[in-house]
Parts: sequence; C-alpha cells; structure tokens
Amino acid sequence: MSFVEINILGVLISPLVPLMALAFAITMILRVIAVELGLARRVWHPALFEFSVFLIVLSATVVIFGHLKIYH
Amino acid sequence: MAPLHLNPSGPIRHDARLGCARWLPMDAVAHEKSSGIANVFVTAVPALLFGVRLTAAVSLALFTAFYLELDAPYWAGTSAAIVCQPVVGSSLLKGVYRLVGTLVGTIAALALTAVFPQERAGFLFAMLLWAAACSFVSTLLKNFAAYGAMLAGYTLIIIASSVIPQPDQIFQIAMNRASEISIGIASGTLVIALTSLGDSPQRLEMLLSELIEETARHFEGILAEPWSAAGPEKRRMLIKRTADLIPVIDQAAGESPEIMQRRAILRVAVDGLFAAISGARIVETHLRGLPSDEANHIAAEIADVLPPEWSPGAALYRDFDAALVRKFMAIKTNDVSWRLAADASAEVATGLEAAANGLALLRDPRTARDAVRMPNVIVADYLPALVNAIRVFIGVGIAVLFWIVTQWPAGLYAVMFSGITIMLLSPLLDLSSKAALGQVVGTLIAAVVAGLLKFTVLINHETFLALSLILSLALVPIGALSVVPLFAPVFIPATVNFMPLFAPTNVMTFDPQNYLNTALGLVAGCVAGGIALVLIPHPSPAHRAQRLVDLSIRDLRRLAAGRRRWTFTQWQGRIYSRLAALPEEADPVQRSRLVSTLPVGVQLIRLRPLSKHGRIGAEIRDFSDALAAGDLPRVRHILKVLDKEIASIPESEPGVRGRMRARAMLLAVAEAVARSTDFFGSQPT
Repeated sequence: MSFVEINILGVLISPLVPLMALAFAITMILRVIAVELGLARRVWHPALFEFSVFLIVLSATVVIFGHLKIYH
Repeated sequence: MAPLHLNPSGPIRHDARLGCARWLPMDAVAHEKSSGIANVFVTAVPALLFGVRLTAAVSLALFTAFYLELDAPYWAGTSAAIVCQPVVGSSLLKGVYRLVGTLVGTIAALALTAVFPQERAGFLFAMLLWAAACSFVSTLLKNFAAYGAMLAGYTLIIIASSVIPQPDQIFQIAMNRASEISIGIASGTLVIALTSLGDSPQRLEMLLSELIEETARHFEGILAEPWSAAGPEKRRMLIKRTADLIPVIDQAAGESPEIMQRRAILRVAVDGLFAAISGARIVETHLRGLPSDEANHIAAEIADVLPPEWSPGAALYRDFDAALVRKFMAIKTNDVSWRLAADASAEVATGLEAAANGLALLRDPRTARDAVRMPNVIVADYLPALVNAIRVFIGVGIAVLFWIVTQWPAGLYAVMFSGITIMLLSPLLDLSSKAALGQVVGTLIAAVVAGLLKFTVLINHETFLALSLILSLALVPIGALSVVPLFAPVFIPATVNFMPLFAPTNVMTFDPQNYLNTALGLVAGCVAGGIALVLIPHPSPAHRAQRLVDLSIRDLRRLAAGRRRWTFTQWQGRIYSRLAALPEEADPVQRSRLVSTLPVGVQLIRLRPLSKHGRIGAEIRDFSDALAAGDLPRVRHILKVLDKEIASIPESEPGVRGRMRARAMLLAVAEAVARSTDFFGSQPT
C-alpha cells in the first residue's frame, strides 16, 4: 500500500488531504444518522466520540483507497 | 475570546452560569471571607488547568510541526494558542471555521501571486483589497463565521509577508504556512475537546429558562401596573439579554451534535422571546392609552386567563403556553380594545411557547418539535462594516508604505501584526481602542518573558521535553491569567504573541539583535494597529443607534408603499437584528422608536391580503400610502373611516372574528403611531 502526492497545477498536495476531507464528510453523515436515531444523546463525551469515529473512518478510507491503488 | 465580565471590586470566583471566572461584588466578599482560601483554590485551579491545557496544545502543535520538518513551526504553536478557548464549544466550532478561513486565505494568496507575477505593487494593492473585503464580510457575519472570514484575510497577510522576500518560493511557503496553521488548529481543538466536557448546553438552558420566566413576569408586571416606569427599563434589559443568547447557542452547538443539527429550534426560540417582548409592549401601549378604570378592567381580565403558576415556572412548559394561546384566541368579544389586548397576549404566549420548545431541546431533546427557519443573513447596518474595511485598507496600507520607504528588515512583521491587530479588534467596536492598548501591553509582556526564557534558560537545552517544560513556565501562568476577566485584555494577546516571539525552530538560533528586531516589528505592528483604531474610530453609539432607527423607518415606509414584499418572518428578523445591534448607550427614545416599528410592520403585513379586494381594500391601500408618506393626519382620518366601515358590516355577514381582528390590528397601528407622532410623521428622505 503506497501513495503518491497529488499534483494540482504544479502544487504537490499530500494524498491524505482529500482522504481527510472524504472521511470528514462521511463522519458528518454518520453524525446526522446518530442524531436522528437518538444515539448521539447517549454519548458521554460527544467531542471524544466524534474524533474517534473520524479516526476510524479515516483509517478505513486509507486502507480501502490503498487497496484500490487509486493513488499509485 | 473569553467573555469579559468586568466588575473589579472584589476577588475572582468561578461562575458556573457564565462558564468562567468573574469578579464578585464587595458585599459578597464580606459574606465569603470565612472561606477565602477555599475560594481562591476553587478559582485558581480551573484557571491553572486551562494554562496547562494551553501548554499541551502548543507543545503538541510544535511537536507535529517539528516532526514534519516544517520551516516555521512557531506558526503551528501560535495557531494552537489562538484556537485554545476556555469554553469548549468555542474551540471546536472556531477550529472548523478557522480551517476553512485558512484554506480560503491560502487559495487567495496563490491566486494573487499568479495574477501579479513579478509585480509587487499590484500584489500589495490586491492584498490590501482582499484584507479590507474580509474585514467587511467578517463584520457582517456573526460569531465564528465572522472569525473564519477574518482568518481568510490575515492568512493572506501572513503568507504574503513570508513570500515577499522570496517570491519564487510562493507555492512551497503557502503550503507550509497553511500546514502549520492547520496543525495548530487541529492540536488546539483536540486538546481542548478531549480534556473538557464543556457546559455550554447547561449554561444555555439556565439562561433560556431565566429569560422565559422573566419575560412572563414582565408581562404580569405590565398587567399589574401598566403605568410603571420600570416596564421600559425591564424590556430594554430583556432585549439585550435575549440578543446575548445568540453566541451561547453557537457555543452549545459546538459541544453537542444534536444541538448543532437542530439549532433552528433555538433560533426560533430567540425569535419567540423577541416576539413575546413585542407583544407585551403592545399590551402596555394599549393599556396606557386607556382611561385607568378601563385599563385596569382589561388588565384584570387578561390576568384572569393566566394560570396562577404561569410565571413561577409553568411558562417553561410548551403545553402550558400553547393552552394559553388557544384560550386567548378563543375569546369572543365585540370590544375592539379587548380584542387587541387578547391578540397581543396570545402573541406573548406564542413567543414563550417557541422559547419553551427551545428549552425542551436542551432538557429532553425527544420532546422538542423541529422547527424550520431558513438561514437568513440580515444586515442591521452596513456602515460599521464599511468603516472597518476602510480602516484595514488605510492602516495596513500605511504600514506597507512605511516598510517600503524605510526598508526596515522587521517591517514585514509590523505589516503582519498591524493587519492582525486591526482585523481582530475592529469587531469590538467602542472597546477596540482599549483592547488595542491591552494588545500592546500584552505583547510587551510576552516579549520580555519570551526574551528572558529564550536567552537565559532555553540556550542550555536541546531536547523537545526541555522545550515543552520551558514553554510551560510562561504559558501556564499567562494562560491562567488570560481567563481572569480583569487581566484578559492584556494576557489573551500575550498568549497569542508569545509564540512568534519565542519562535522555536528545528535549528535554534540565539541572536539577540535579530530577536530585538523581530520584537520591535511585532510591537510596532500592534502600536500601528492601535493608532489606526484610534484615528479612524467607529461611528459613535448615538450615531449608530440613530442610523438603525432611520433605516427601520425607511424600511417600514418601503413596506407600506409596497416597494418591498417582506414576509412576516423577514420583517421580524430585520427588526430583531437591529434590536440586537442597538448599542447599550442608545437613548430610550431611540430604543422605543425602533421597537415601535415592529408591530406596525407586522400589522401592515397581516393587513396585506385584505388590501386586494373591494372598497375596504382600497382604503387599506390609501392608509398604507399615507403612512409611507408620513402624512399622519390622513392616516388618522383613514383609520377612523376604515374602523367605522368595518364596524358597520352587519354581524349576520360571515367573518365576524376576522373583521374584529382587522379592527384590532388597525387600532394597534393607530396606537403605535400616536405614541411616536414626530417619528412616524417625519418626512421621508
């Protein structure tokens, strides 16, 4: 599993940046679902919970994109 | 920035309601002398803990920036220090907006460099325009969104200041600065969010429930004593405290995903409180215009409808308020005066019902009813934003010219910090000059402390652990003092400016001459920013208040003339935003005039459907035109004729209640206009 930098008009950007944006968007969708289902109000520390979910989603995204070899 | 509650006549205590330390009044001191040591402990511990968290956030940001071998890691530390807030919600939401602002500022820096290659004058002019535009937008927006716009402005100045000496490195420098600032934001947000649960929802619940009860009591007070001189003063306090709820809602939304997602309920709750205050004012105006016997009779009738337990707590429950609305609306009467009082009382109950629904979201989210409120950015007045933009353009422009003319090596620091000072402090309006003085003093303190630590302690150490411990020697006490309201204006800038002065890098250089130049540039930038704030002052509170009143009567005339087709909610939002923007020093007459435009506009919008048909419709159109022209004798004449015409329609005709309501609306307009004849009768300009 390896990644290469993204070249936008000569500016090299870390491949993690779009993955983080994607993970953030997925986390936001999960948060909406959690609020709708009433799960969010059962969480003791919302900030810690959201951060943990974000890390899990980001890790999963990195693994999936690594296997898909999109950034090779 | 920590909320400022200045009352320096006693010691500092932690106040759970305000979420920060505050000064206690002297009478409280005498009472608490016996437990003085315990109180100092209770206050000092949270403040010192904040200092520790600030140090941890800065150290984490520095560690990450060092690990990634970025060229100016102190920008990560500075950014972490700015993001760290004593209120958790502030940090989380502020962090997100700051990230967006940084991204926009970086893109702007890249775009300007591409548009003005090898053309320094064009680049600097465009930079000034961008900074002024960001300051303009930042003043128009509210709370953290305003902070994001501000960030977009000074991120460009920070990047430009680094790029100017080496323009060929623009892309690399822009990416580095953006990375450093983003690392700082992430570190500050992470440390604050993970080390504190936050209490903003609880604070909001306490403030909202207090306001609901006090508004209900205010209404009961009007019924008990309509002529009391305390009524208008109480209303002024309620309006101000209701407007003050808005930033607390943002803080609570930053701490709770559910509140964030359903915050429209809380915005509707705030609108409801304003509507309840306005309804109470209509009742007060009406009762004051009646003979005392009749006024007492109507007041007693309304009071009889209110349940005895309403103001002591029942008003906090939505169902009680909803039942009250139904009771008032169901009243059948042929007395137009009684109809007006009942409808206005129903408005009070409707407003409190919306507020109680907001409280339900905070207490038991399952029971809260979702509300729809379209995001509607209403600008109370463009003038303060325009003045801020002009100040940024001229202030930073003069700093740029000074740097070009003198070729001062540290001039770019002065440019950078003059921009940051002006943009950061301008939204404080009348307090900005004093805050600028605090900024200068705080920066001087930071310069002395940073210099001492750098050249006497750090010089003998090389490890990151040693660096963190040395940083804690300064940041823990400075951070702790920054949450004490009395010292906040000095020590908040000290926490922010300490890092660029201390400037730890991967390979440390200990050059006292370079340090003094940097410190001088930084202090000179803060002084230049302060001078710009003093020399290009904000419009005075009296002038701002008068403008808000003038803009409101202009809008009312546009509405009456049919040149604007605002809806009920849009009109209310327009006047509420002006009420929230009204300076505390505003004259009671100005305040009363501004409040009086609300019911008149509301009734005009309600009467609009009737103006489309028949003879009565033509009369209503005439009345609206006369009001738009400020022709009060004609307004009074048409109102009398209209009232007679509507009253003369036989009761056997359908729509009796609707006709009675229309008469009550016309009476409400007549009373509001009669109360401020010179205001509504002034000639349109």
